[in-house]
Amino acid sequence: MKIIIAVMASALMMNAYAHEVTVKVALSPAGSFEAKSDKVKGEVKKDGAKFTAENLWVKTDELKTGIDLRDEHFHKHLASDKFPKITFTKVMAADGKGTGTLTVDDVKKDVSFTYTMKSPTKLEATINVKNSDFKLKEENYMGIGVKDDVVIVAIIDV
Amino acid sequence: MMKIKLTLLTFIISFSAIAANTPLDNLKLMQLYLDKNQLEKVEDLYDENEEILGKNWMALERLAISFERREKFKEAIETYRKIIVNFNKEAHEKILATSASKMDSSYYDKTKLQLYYYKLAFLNTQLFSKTNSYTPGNDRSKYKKNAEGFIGLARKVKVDEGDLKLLEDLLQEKINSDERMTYKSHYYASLDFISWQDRLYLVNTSGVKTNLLSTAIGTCIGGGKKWENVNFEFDLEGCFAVLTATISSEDRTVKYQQSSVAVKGFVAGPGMYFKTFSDNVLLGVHVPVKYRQGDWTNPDETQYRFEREKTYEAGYFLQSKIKIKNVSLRTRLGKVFPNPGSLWSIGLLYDF
Amino acid sequence: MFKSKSLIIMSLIGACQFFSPKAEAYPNFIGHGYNSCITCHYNPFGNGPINDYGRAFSATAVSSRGFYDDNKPEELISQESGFLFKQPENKHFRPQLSYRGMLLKQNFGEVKETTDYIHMQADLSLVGLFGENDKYIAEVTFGYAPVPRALQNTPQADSIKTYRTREHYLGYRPNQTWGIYAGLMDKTFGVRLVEHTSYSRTTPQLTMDDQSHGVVIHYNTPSFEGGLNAFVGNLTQDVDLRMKGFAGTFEYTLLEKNRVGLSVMKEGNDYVDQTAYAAHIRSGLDHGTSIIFEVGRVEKTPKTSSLSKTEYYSIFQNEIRATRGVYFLNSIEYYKNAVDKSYRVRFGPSVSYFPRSKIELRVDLNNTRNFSQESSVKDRWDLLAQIHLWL
Repeated sequence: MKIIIAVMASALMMNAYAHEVTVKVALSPAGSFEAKSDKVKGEVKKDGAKFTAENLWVKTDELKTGIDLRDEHFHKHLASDKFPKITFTKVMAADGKGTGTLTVDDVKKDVSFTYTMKSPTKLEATINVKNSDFKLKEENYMGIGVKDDVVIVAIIDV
Repeated sequence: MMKIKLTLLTFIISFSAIAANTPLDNLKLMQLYLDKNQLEKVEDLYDENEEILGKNWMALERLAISFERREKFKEAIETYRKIIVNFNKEAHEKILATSASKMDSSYYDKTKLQLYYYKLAFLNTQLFSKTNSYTPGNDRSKYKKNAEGFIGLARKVKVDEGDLKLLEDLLQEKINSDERMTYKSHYYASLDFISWQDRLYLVNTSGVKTNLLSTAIGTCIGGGKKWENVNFEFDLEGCFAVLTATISSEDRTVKYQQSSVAVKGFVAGPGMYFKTFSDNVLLGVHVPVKYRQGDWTNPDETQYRFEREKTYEAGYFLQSKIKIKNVSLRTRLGKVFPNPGSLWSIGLLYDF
Repeated sequence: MFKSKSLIIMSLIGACQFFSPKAEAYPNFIGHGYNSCITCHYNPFGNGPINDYGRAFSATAVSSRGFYDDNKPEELISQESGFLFKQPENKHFRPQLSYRGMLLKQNFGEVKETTDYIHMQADLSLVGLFGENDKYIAEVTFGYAPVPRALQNTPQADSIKTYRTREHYLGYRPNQTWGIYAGLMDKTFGVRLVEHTSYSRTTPQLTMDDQSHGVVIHYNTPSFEGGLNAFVGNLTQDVDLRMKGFAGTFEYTLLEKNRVGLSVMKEGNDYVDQTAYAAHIRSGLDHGTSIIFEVGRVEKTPKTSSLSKTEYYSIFQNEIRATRGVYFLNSIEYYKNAVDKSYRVRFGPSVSYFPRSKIELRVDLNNTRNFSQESSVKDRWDLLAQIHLWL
């Protein structure tokens, strides 16, 4: 006897959203790089024109810069072995602006961001933060340093 | 004394034989085989004692674990279903009939349905993840539907959310991967700046041939259809070319020269690109057939005729394409035989 | 004296095709996010020796690790990118050895095909770094430079020194934004491409022997970078031949990996005045892939005549990073001489392979087609195979 799969009518929630994040880092004296991941997890709820999310997170190791050695340095800079996740919690957004709590290396900071709707189901948010806000130490590799200002761009499925 | 020993020995053997046939002993043996990773023996033991062990949910559980470890996912699924149907039917039907918001843990607390639902979700996810282009469509849909269904059931009975999200991610990864491998087709329009060199001959009444070389440059407007997935793009396209040429004799003893000659042509054929380097920068080849004709002036029709004045030719190009949204910049360099020079083009494509 | 009067005259008459050695600037690396040369080079506009970061980047991002053990850490490969395969033991001195050789087949596949092997460059460079944040820089590059091909087997060739310095300067960078450099350097004009034979380099006369003594001011911010260069010609040249003047190049950053730029140059000697303008775009696409486009106008006016010659050029170059260590390049160039209505287009696909750190192999196939109202001539095919080694 086969078990009747009536669960399609039950509360089935497929929460496999394809969120992406790009962390844009400026170098000194010149240049920049991006650390990207398309494995951002978490659910965004839409209520009319308002958006909320309890917890959006990405594994630090999943952020890739395109160069293996730079990935190693980037993950080490963020202490990915001790703090494997970067989280963005208590997110609320409406009318192109939002707030949330960003946690990096166990340091929490309330941040604000702006967003635009790229399509009816995709939202692009831009967050400007500083390395020093999260007590991340200054980095320098062979004479090239990382600037304090960092821009985070997230593309979220809603 | 000998008789007593013999009797005692017979008694011990008989007792052992009886004892080994009890379900508990078989269960212990199954567990022992599992622990030693002797998985085939688990299944063999079950098969030999199916009549008895088939009525024992612990034996069925061990059998399912054995199947799972041997990646015999369908058999494992069937075994877990048996356990649910034969030993947890009432609780299972109650859970099916109750919505998530009204679920009470008492419905499943005294059962192992949380584990079984998770296992069924996991195993169906595995089956779905292993499908390929040769898997029948019905099977693919069935595995996906079952996986989604059991994830829902598992969620109802409060299986760890993290574990379920992992399964959902696996499902989505497979869906995305399959989506990327599926070929999609589009029409496109092209506008190229194109140049080629043509070989013609001027033949006199004695049959002496003079090599003429025509260098043409102009535009080629056209379009085509392409089929692409994440790795490759195949296309079929054509364009109509309008060019202007300078033609002259390669033989210095014969003076023939004409500029601003109108040349028309058509270039069409199949091509392909590799997308393995990036989605936005593609390298490939194109194998065209080219037709061209030109308004070359015959210096004296009573004395001369042209050879290859109008002709069909074939060749090959190497091509590269840089895509930015619907617009692409394409360059081509190749050869069309038997002309001595190259054919190259640089142009824009627009995808519809 | 390495640049004779006859060379100047030949430059006035027509385009001289020197298959010149290459510069060591890779502006295409904007595809990796490096939109300014100063990240990897001591010279803020590229060329010349590369700094520690440039070496590490070259070893760990550009070069293949195909010949390394799979288990060898990237950090160790980076450490071995230094001079003589080790990290510098002092803060102040950075030597570099560099060699480039090229096998050149001109008129490839034709009866008049010629094959030459050219030692394009064999240099020793030494950089001195002093002060806080290395704000005082001293650089000298000395080595072998072949006689320009147009002058080979001519009487002038005997007077040309083949061992000389093509770059030496003192620099002062009080901070990351400003820098001032004085000495013998390439002029700051246009995109400093690797290919010295490109029309964008030959037309405004910015090839391997066109360095000039002068002063360069460099201004650099994330959104804007500029250079002003005042120069008095190469002081080893005869006074009458020295091209004196100024040049400037300015780039504006659009969206991180995209830069638009303008350049201007005005120079002259006792025989000719030259004015050049150019505009360019450098754009980084994904994963180390880039495109460069430059268009320019050069006007040359002989001092003895009012008849000026105006030349136009453009270059489009697309670099595709196939995989770590392997780059495909596609160059399309245009050159027009306004005196007659003829023009020239050159298509140049090439493959560049960095099998491991400190080695580059490159093959170029150039197809040059002349368009003229007067006659139709066969395309010219040239095959170039190059090796670049550095320590």
